[in-house]
Amino acid sequence: MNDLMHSPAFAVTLTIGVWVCALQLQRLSKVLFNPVLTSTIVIITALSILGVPYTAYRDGASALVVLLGPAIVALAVPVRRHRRLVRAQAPALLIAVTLGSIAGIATTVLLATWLGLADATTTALAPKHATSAVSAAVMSVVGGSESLAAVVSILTGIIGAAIGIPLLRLLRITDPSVTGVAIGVSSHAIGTARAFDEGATEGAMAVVGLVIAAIVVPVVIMVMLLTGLLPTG
Amino acid sequence: MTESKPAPSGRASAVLLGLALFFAISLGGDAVTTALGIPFPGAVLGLLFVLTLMFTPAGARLERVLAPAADILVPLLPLLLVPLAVGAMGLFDVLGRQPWQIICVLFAGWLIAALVTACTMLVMRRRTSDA
Repeated sequence: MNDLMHSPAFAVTLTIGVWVCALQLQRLSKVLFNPVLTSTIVIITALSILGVPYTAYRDGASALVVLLGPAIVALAVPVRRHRRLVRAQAPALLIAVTLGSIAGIATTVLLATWLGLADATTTALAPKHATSAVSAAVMSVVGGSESLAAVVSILTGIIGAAIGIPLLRLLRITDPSVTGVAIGVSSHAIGTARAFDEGATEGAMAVVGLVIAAIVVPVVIMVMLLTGLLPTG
Repeated sequence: MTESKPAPSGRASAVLLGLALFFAISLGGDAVTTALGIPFPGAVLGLLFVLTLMFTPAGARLERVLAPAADILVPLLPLLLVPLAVGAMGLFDVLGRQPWQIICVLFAGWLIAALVTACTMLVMRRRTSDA
């Protein structure tokens, strides 16, 4: 039995099974039941009850994670479908995403320092505005915690997916392009998936935000480390 | 009988061809970033490469080849992040030490990034339409 729980089939079945149920639950409330959050909580609880260590689950689930690279490359297709919109707004997009990423990183680092978080935690939190694959890659070079950086990126994405669009609407920001880019920059892949739920334009513009942020964030982090504005992990 | 819909086997090969290309591009991106030693994920470099091609005259053809696989992969993206998020269970000691401070930092950083991006877009657009 123990061997079965350590097999890739167990990890994949558990992940997909819980995911399908989480998608059903999302129909009740998109704000309360973000499928990534509910799936994560249910899987952590299941692994703890069954006594399966995370490393065993991670090794098994790598059969799914291997698709992450191709899925990121595949984001080019929805952007191509909205190429006219992207071309028309290219300068605004570049400037808005760069400023948004820098403002997000600065707020994170200043607030983390002010609240007395440990240096290593602050460094792992800083690149959270890039998608988890990018923030983990930045940490691997800086020498900080890759898993912590990936997890806080995902938590940020969950915050954005759950409350991002309702909050922007509350502030009377309803333009599909603007909403999409803002969600893509602040909440990357998980937020982008949520933006596609709203509409194809929101989704495609979120991808553009995600891609530009993925380039801007590592550059800003490297500059901050070299100038001593960010402690090394 | 309509000719526009490919036969199931034709559709499966179209998906597989796209999938193989996405894997190859992602792997190629990894090869480049590893060779150059830059802190950048290969998949995002691959995405940039494909995006650049998509805006050239070859873009329409490339879109036709890649779309069947992309239409399956893109909606699956959040599912693929779940195993990474489960990694939080190994970090309870770090996350649990100052949970409210971390949540506060995550929320404030998220809010400022979203608002600065949205406001800059709106201001830039107004300027363009005024000009």
